[in-house]
Amino acid sequence: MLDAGTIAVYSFAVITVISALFVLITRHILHAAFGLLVCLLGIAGLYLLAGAEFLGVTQLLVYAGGILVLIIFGIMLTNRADGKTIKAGNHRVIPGILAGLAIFLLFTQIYSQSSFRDSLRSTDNNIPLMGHPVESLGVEIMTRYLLPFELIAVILLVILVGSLFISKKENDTN
Amino acid sequence: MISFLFFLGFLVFYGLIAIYAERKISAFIQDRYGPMEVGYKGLLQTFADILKLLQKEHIFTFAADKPLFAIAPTIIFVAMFAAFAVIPLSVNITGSTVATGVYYAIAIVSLDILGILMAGWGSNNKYAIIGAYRSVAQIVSYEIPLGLAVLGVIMMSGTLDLQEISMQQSIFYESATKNTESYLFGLKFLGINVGKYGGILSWNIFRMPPLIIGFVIFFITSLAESNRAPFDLPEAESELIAGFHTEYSGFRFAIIMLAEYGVMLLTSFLAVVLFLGSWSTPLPNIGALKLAEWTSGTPGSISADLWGIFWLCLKAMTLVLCQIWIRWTFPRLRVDQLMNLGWKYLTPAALIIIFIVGLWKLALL
Amino acid sequence: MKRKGANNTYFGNITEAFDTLITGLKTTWKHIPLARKKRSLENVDSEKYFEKQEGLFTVQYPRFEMPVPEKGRYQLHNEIEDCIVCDKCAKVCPVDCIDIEPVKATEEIGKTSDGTPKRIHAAKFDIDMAKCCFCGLCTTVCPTECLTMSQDYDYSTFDITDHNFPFSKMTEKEISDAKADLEKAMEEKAAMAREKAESRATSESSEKSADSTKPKAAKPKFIPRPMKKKKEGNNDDNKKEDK
Repeated sequence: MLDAGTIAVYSFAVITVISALFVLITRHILHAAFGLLVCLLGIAGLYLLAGAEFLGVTQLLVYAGGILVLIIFGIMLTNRADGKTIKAGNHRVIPGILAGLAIFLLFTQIYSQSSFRDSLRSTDNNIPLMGHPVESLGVEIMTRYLLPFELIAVILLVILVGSLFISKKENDTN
Repeated sequence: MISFLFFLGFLVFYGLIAIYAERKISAFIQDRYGPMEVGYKGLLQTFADILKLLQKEHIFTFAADKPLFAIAPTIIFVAMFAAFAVIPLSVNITGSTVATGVYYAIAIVSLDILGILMAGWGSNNKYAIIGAYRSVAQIVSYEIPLGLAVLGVIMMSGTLDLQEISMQQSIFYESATKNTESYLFGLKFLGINVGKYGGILSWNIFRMPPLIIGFVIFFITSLAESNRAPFDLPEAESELIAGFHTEYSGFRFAIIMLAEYGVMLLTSFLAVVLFLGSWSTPLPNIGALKLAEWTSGTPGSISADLWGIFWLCLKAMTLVLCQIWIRWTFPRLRVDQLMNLGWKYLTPAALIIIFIVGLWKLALL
Repeated sequence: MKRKGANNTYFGNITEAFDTLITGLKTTWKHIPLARKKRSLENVDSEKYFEKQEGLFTVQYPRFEMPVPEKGRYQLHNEIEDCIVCDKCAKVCPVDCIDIEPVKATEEIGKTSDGTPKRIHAAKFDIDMAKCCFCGLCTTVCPTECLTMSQDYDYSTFDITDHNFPFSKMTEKEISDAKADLEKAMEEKAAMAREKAESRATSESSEKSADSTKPKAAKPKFIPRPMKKKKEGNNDDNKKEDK
């Protein structure tokens, strides 16, 4: 039967799906952004329930607390610049649906072929995780995945410098 | 559950006390009396104000975005209150035992910004929107030095778990882990093991002296995070009326005010847990005077809980008092000064602190 | 203060910031323990009035009051027993806040405390404190010193008409009696005058009998106050502008 954990998973899933649909349907662009917030929070909840504590909190910090704030900030600053609110329209419905279906199929294909599916199934709740998840994550990043980690860092630095350069140029022309 | 009920009750109680204290201290600094009429020396003034706010009508402005306007105070309060979940109260009462406690607290508080944006936008009021913009720009900028200052502590203690960080700073650490590697100022070559002295000597700022500057950075940024003077640009009364909560009235206004004071308390609690020894006593054992043991209780018993809660709240309240004191001393910063301070002074300083902490740990321990 | 901004160097700014911040915190901290001191209730006459820099400054007014100086100009008070209703105060008042209705008495009605005889009833002696500008001119011109400014300064009311303070103690009946007496006396006088005139007319010539009421009409009737000031002032202004 349903236990508390399962109910929680399903309720988070329902919240996520409903808010995602709301983002698609609503014509008010700022409401859509806040719908996205609920969606991201729902996903963070699912991560937490799946035991990926660090990932869930990162989702909160980076997406809900960082990127979404930037999106809303952008909407607020551009909205009503010409005196009227920007309305979101439903453009390219059929290509959108096709693209969504394609991504869905891709994910199911990856999921069915990957090896972690079996490992997930065999996971027993009574077996404690190997080591501390945060600790192992840190060690892995600093050893095995050091090169990608450093590459990401360099890319971020380039983006930072680039955005600085762009904003500076605009100021000069103004 | 104990932790939840304690914090809910304590937050309301603290709200009453802190607002009264704020009024009284501001009055004394300005050679006034402050509230004097309701109750003895005006003690019940805040209570009367809250009663008044509860009776008041919820005013929706005509052009307000009603759903956002109505939900915003809830988001602000929930985001603030959710962070209390990970604050340990004593050696036994740990709150939520997540391994990523600090990380979670910082992440969940950043949701506060979304509530402020909702409130500012939903009000459809120019002051509210300007206040919300400023608030977000400020909080996003100051989250960086805040996170970096916290990172110094995490590097030193090697964990994100707030209870673990607290344990390391208490006199129970030695007996619990059989770890005797606790030296004065983190300097092994001095050969002074402070594990058995406990008290103030085992606080993070004394175990790792560079963290004193880290604590100062954390404290300054926490003022900015809670939108308090001298960083109260988002609600600058003289320019923006009340910033993002200009249009709020009644119970919603009360909730926003409680959340504002709640953030003060939360940042104070975090500062205490991370830098000032958490729930452990400030009194060290000196020879035969086992002050630390007398004022800590025995782990597992109710005495340890009472002492833990007492010390934690005492330290947090002291920091709140400092915040009030600072608010009524300094004038408000200009926007460019705010950004200068955040990016040119606090962020580099926090980075240097991290570097020094790393060196200190590697070279001297 | 040492060098300001320490030549605006990066570290100079930091040290100066800390210096000044700590100075500020010390300054405000000093005031907190001083808050135990209440303000001493000395008025401006006191020698130490300007030396009180410490402690709470607020006076919790309805419970404590600052004593006011004796010479202070607060509420006007008229000791009606001493008033001879000379109307000087009403004439000198720059804002016309004193309203007097005199009724001449037929005989001396008493003496003031300094021995001046009173010959006029004050049927109405109203001072409208809402209009008063507290210049104190009326107290200066008062010949019997019955009009004074009292120490009472708190007479705020909910209705502005309550600021009109009546000082006359005469009842309606007394006023009408006094008026009746006066009329009677006037009639008697007029009758006497008529008799005189008639007797004069009969003795001298009958042509002037039509003017027999003339003395009565010419008799200087008591005019409360000249009201032409304003008009004259305006005319003056116009003249000045014309020049």
